[in-house]
Amino acid sequence: MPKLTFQSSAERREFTDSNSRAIIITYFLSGMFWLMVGSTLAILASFKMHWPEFLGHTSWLTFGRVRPLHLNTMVYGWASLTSAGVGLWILTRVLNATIPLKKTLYAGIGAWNLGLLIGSIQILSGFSNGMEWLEIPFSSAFLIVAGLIPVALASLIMLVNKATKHLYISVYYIVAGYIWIISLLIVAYIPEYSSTVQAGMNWWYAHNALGLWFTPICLAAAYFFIPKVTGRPIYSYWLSLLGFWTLALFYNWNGFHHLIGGPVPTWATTVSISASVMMIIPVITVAVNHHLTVVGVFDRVINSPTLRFIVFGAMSYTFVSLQGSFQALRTFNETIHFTHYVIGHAHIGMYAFVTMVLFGSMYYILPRLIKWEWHSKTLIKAHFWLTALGIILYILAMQTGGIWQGIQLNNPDIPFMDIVENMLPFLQARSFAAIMLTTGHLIFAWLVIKIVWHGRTKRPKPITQMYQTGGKGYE
Amino acid sequence: METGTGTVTLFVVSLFMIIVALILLIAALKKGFFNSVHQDAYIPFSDDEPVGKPTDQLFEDDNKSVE
Repeated sequence: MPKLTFQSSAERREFTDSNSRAIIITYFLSGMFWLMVGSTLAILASFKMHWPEFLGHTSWLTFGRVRPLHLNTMVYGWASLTSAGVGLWILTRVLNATIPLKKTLYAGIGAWNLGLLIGSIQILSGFSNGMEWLEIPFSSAFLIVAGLIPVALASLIMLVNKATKHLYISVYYIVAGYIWIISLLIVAYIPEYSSTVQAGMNWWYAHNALGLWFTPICLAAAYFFIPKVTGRPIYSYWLSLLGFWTLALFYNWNGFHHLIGGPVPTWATTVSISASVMMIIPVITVAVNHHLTVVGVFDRVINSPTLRFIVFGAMSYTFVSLQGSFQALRTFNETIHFTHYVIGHAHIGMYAFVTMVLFGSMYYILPRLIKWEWHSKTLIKAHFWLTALGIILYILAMQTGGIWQGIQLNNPDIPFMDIVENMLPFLQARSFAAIMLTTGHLIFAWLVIKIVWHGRTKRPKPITQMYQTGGKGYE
Repeated sequence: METGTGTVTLFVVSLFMIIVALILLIAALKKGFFNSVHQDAYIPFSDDEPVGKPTDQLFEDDNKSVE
C-alpha cells in the first residue's frame, strides 16, 4: 500500500473520513435497521409479561419466540454492527490509516444481515437453539461470523499499516474485541457440548460476549471521545493500560457464576465468583481515569451531544460492573437469581452502558463523515432525556421488583401466584419505560436519516473549521 | 488425592509461560520500550485540534439555532 503524505492533520482527517464514509455509514444504517426491529420486539415482549393474551394466539408471536429475537436483533444487529463501524472509524483516527478490504467488508455486511434475517425467521418459526444469546442456529450464525472476520482482518491490516509511532489505548481494546468475539462465537458453536457442560459454555459465552466484545469497543470509544471532546488527555495512561490488561486477565473466567446452585462443580462457580470480584480492579481504574479526565470541565460534557451519552454510558459501566461483582456472591445471588433483577442488570450493561456509548459515538462520527450538522439540537436533547430517563425507570422497576420477588420466592409460605400478581406494577412500569426508549430510538432514526440524506441543515463552512472554534462557527 | 500427569503438565506449562512473559517484560523495560508510554495519551490530538481545545460543543449557545 503506498504511503500517503499530507500537508496537515486536517487534510489527513478529510482524506480518511471521505475514504471510510460509505462503509461506516453502511454499518450504522444496518445497525439502525435492527435497532428498530429490536425495539418493536421489545415492546411486544414487555406487554406480554403483564398482558399474556396480547397476540398470544399466533405461535410465531408468542413470548418464547419474540423475546429471544429481541435479544438477538439487539445484540448481533444493532450493537454488533454499530460497534464494528465505531471501532473501525476510531482506528482510522488513532492509527492514521485508511480502511482496507472494503469489498470484503461490504460482502461481510451483506452476509451478516442475511444471517440475521434467516436467523430471525428461524427463531420465529421455532427453530431456536434454546440457549440464551445463542438462539440463532448454526446454519445462519456462521454468516454473522463471516461478517465479523473481515472486520478483524481489516483492523489487523490497519495496525500493520499505521502511520503513527505509538499505539493509543483504544487500539488495544478494539483489535482485541474483534478477535475475542470471533473466538467466542467459534468456541460456542462447536457441536460438542451437552447437559451441564452446555449450560456452562452458554453462560461463559453470554457473559464474555458482553465483557470481551461490547465492553472493549465501548471503553475504546470512551477513551477516545472523552479526551477528544473535552480537549484534555486521559488522566493516567498507565492506569488505562492496567485497566485493559486486567480486563483481559480476569473477564474470561466469568460466566459460571450464573449457575450458582446448579448441578456444576462448586470449584467452577467459585472460580467465576473470584474472577467477578477481581473485575473490581479494571472497573475502578477505568472509572477513576474517566472521572479525573472530566473533573473541572463538566460544562463541556453538558454542551456536547456525544459526551452526554458517553459519560452516561461510562458511569453505567462502573455501576453495572460493581453491581455484577457483588451479585456474583452466593449470599446475594440466592435472593436475586431467577428474578427480574437480573433482567435489569443485563439492561444496565447492554443499554445504559453499550447502547448509550454507541449513540454518543454516532453523534460525533456522522457529522464528520458527512460534513453536515445534526438537524435539530432539540431532538437530540429529547433523544437523550427519553433514553436516559427511560432506562433509569426500567432499571428501578426491574431491580426493586426483582429483590422483592426474590425475597418472596425464598419464603415457602407465600403462594407463587401471589408473587406473580405482586410483580404486575413493576412489569407495567417496564412497558412504559420501553415506550420511552422506543420513542427515543425513533427520534434518533429520524435524525440519522436526515443527516445521511442531508436534510435541510446547510452549513456554510466545512465541519472541521467549525469544530476548531469550539462550536462558535454556527450561524 | 493422586496428582495426575495432566495436572503436572498444566502446572509446568503455566509456570513456563509466566517465566517467559516476565523475561519479556523485564527485557522490554530495560530496553526502554515503556519510557515514552505517557506520550501515547496525546495521540487523539493534532496540530489543528490540540490539547485544550474542546470539540463537539453543539449545545454551547442554545440561543443560536442550528435550524
